[in-house]
Amino acid sequence: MSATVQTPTTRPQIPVTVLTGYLGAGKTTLLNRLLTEEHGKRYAVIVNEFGEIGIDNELVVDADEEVFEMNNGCICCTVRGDLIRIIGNLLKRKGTFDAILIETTGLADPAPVAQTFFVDEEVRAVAKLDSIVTVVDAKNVVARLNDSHEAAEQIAFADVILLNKADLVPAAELVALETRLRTINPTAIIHRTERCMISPTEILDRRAFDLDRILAIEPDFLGEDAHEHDDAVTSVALRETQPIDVNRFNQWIGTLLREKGLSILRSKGILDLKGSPNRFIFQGVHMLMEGDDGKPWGQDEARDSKLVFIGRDLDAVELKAGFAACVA
Amino acid sequence: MSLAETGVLTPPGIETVVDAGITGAVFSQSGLLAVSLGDGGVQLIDPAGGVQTVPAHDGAVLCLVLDIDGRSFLTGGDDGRLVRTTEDAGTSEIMRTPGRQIDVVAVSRLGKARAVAVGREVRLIDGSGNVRASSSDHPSTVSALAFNPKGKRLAAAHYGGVTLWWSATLGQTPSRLTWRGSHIGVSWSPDGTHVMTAMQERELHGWRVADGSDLAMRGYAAKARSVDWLAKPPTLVTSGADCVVAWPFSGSGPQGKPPIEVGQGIGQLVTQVAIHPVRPLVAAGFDDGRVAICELTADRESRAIRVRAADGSKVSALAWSQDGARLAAGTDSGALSIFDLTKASSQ
Repeated sequence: MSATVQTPTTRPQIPVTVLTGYLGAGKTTLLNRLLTEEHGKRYAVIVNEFGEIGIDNELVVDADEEVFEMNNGCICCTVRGDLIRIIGNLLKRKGTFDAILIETTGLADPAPVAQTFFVDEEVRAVAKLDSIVTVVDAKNVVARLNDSHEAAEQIAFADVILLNKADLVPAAELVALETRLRTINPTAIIHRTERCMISPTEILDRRAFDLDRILAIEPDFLGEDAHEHDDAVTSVALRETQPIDVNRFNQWIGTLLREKGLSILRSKGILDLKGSPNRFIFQGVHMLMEGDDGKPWGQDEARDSKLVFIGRDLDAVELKAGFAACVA
Repeated sequence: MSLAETGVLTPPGIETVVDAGITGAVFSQSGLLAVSLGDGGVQLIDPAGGVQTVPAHDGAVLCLVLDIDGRSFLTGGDDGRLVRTTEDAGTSEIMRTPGRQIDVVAVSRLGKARAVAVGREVRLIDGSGNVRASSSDHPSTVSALAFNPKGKRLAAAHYGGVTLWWSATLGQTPSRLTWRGSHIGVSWSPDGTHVMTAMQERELHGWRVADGSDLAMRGYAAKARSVDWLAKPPTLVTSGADCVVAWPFSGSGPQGKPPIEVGQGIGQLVTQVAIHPVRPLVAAGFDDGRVAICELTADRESRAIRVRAADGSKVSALAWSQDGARLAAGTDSGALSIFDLTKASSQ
């Protein structure tokens, strides 16, 4: 007999994976693959009401993708009210599933989904956004990027991008495609797939891995050729080698997101704060942000601070100057 | 004055733990207690403590109300079903909508009507289980339903406000009470003059039905999901703060008046409130499992007693028996307490 006592107050947060991507890109294929692979986890699946084909899972809930604008103090943001309700209801089935998968419609803006996990206290208490996975069709993603803004938004919000139907496109084109996707989102991991063939471990439980990716980005990554496509959504990566003053940073980022948060889709960073033995991990969606202590810096480790902004009309020079002024 | 100074009462009663979180509790007219569970079960508990467990749903029971006859119970579940459970533990399915979560059901005993929300659609179901009328004329999923005290009007809450229907003509000519934001709960004042909602934005909104004029109450720490009304004097009693906040509706209404605050001193969020059926008392359930019974008095310091100690789980259901002699409290980790207050003794 086990001596451990279950305390309800320390209930862990349920990880949530969001699948986005255009109709026909392979979202439902990926969803069914994740559900049928042997990984010993039980999923609750929230699908949109326009779902194309059947989902092979015990617990499937239809969602209506109902977005509303929430006034949260001085910050306005859009959230998915239906998700707040559905997740609250699902959590009443204690212990019958380990994680939640949310499939969004092809044209959905991922921001309201992500913001729901920042804004709603009840959802935050029980569930945590693990990652946003975007499936793109390698054959027609260029056309989608040229004729719609949703495609760029779905790529901008991704933690993981599946460049699907890669078998239908020549290798040289795939390289060019990946460069373009990285221009929009330098922090996402890109996988080339055929019929969404990928190990579930590359998709699920990514959170710990996600922010470490920021450290791997070189600020000069965005070379001259990055601008040739003239995408509306681009990214700016910044780096400081001197410790950052926490008050200056908070004031700068707070004002920046409040004033420019409509055009800044995502912001992420790992900071070396003066006086702190730990990394400070920071991420934001539009005007919302959250930060927390990460793992401690090693004894002989070179410390630096990195920030990535993904958005429209980003002024790299102004952002660089603003961040530089936060040095302690 | 804090609760700790006022006293602790340990009434005799029943303490049990079930295997699933408790999602609702209600007493029938005859004193049978129904408790709904996160595993789909409904427990029927008689005054002597005899328990029958009914497997009503496949999944969680999301809502539980007393049916029109005052003797049986209606439950909605995340299996998309609406189920009736009788006092002798028989069940019958009234509605089935696969893939939907049925979490909003209202009953009017005076109007002999049941209303259930399925996404944007509201269905009126009569005593024999037939859909009498339905309407999808709502801008978003209906998050709450309430009949007015006479049972002739139905309020449906959604994004942007409340739609009011006449039960007799549901689907024909709605009237709208509008206010920006997501409304997640709705109730009528006992005299039927006001409709009040709880909002996602941690505030209450309301309208005087006669002219649609707005009311707003702000400053809540959390969503005021659980509210109840004291009939005389008409008072709206709410959760969502670290004490019970009560708004007096007598005279010119609550505008410009300070609320009555009772049950302070615990320092925990109030998650459930339930008004005593006879006396001006409110039972309050807290985020840490505590339950207190507080006097609702505006003119002097109110007294309060704690009847249930903290156990770290959140009070998720609270109900008085119709004679006010018993109080049932359930938590989201499955602890159930039923207090017999006629036999209580102070410590």
